[in-house]
Amino acid sequence: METLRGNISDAVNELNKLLLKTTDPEEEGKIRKLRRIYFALWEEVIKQEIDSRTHEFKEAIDSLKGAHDAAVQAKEDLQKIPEAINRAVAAAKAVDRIVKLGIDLLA
Amino acid sequence: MKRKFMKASEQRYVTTCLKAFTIIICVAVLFGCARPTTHIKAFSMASEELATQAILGYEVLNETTVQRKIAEVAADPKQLPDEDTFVGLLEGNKNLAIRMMALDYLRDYSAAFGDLSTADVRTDINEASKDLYGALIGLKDTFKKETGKDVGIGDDDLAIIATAVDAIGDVIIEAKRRGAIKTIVIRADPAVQNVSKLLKDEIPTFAEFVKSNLSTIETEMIKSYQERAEGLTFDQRVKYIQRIRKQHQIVRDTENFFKDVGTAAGMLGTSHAALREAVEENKFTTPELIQQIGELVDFTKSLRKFHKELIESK
Repeated sequence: METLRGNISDAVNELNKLLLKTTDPEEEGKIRKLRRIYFALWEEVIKQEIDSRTHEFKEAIDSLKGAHDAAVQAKEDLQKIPEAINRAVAAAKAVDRIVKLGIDLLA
Repeated sequence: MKRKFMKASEQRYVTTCLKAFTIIICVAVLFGCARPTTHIKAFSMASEELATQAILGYEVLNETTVQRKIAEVAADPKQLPDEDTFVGLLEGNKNLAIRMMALDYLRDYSAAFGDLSTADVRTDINEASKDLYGALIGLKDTFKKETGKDVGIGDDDLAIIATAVDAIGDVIIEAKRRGAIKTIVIRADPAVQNVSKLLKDEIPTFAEFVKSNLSTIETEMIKSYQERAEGLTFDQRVKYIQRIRKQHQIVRDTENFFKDVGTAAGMLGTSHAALREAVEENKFTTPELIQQIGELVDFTKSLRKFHKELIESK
């Protein structure tokens, strides 16, 4: 069964790999901030009992998978890093709609 | 805080090694001894050690969270450490902290009923039984608080255990002692099974979190190397890369460690069930029990190895 934990874990691991690829300070800053947000969301997922039957849950899983795929592509083509960051922001927002941490996400 | 943890970890590690050594010696000596309850003692020592290792699993979860936060702050010069930097996953999570308490009680239970099996004088019996009740009451209350369910041991069970322990008498009668141990193991078994199952199912799910904590630290180490490599001498670069390699090995071993800690929690249940089966037939030493003790002792070795590596990597 798909879990938020597993998909957040995949997203964090891809963000780490992207961080090693880029040398742009602005991108590095955004990736680090995103990674902090993902860990905060992950901690919240561990604390809370999450209902996996909701529409929001499915959306969050799909969004995390999209973010993961975008990061994988960006590793091959560094021009795609901004797009990968945007997808990762969207996925973080989707997870936040479930755990309601209200973290200040990237614009 | 970090310094304090490292010291505590190192002390715990030394204590763990001494305990393990004692267990191995005891198992070797006790297998050759005649008193039937001596195997119970060896069994309880191994269980106690296993519970300790499972507790360490939660501590690794907690500590790697703090280490990762420190690495994140250090990686970004614009960031400053604040109170949250030093808050681990357990401090901020009541449910996880309660699980550690349950494991603590499980460990106390193992130790107390082991002491009861070998105590030579009544005062020692009294001391061990006090610890045993404390552990069982703690287990009962903690489990209820955490899950909202009964752990499987009630006030009536505790009263029956108390009566059986009292029956051992002032001058210890071995048959009565065995009767008390039998009662304890049978009455406490549902509680041990429930806690063991809860932990066995849950602990492996933390592997990914710990692995990501550790790989984030590794990523920042590599990133830092990328930025500084040109200004370093060959020897300095080698030293730096060796540190990264050590971290890489820890990341690699994490998954197995948590799988093993989960198995350890499960083994607390299966081995207690084997003990229950033995005492139900009034057998205090069986080939299965001896095998269980051997497996428990073996198992703690792999867990200790990882914990040692983690401490040495700091």
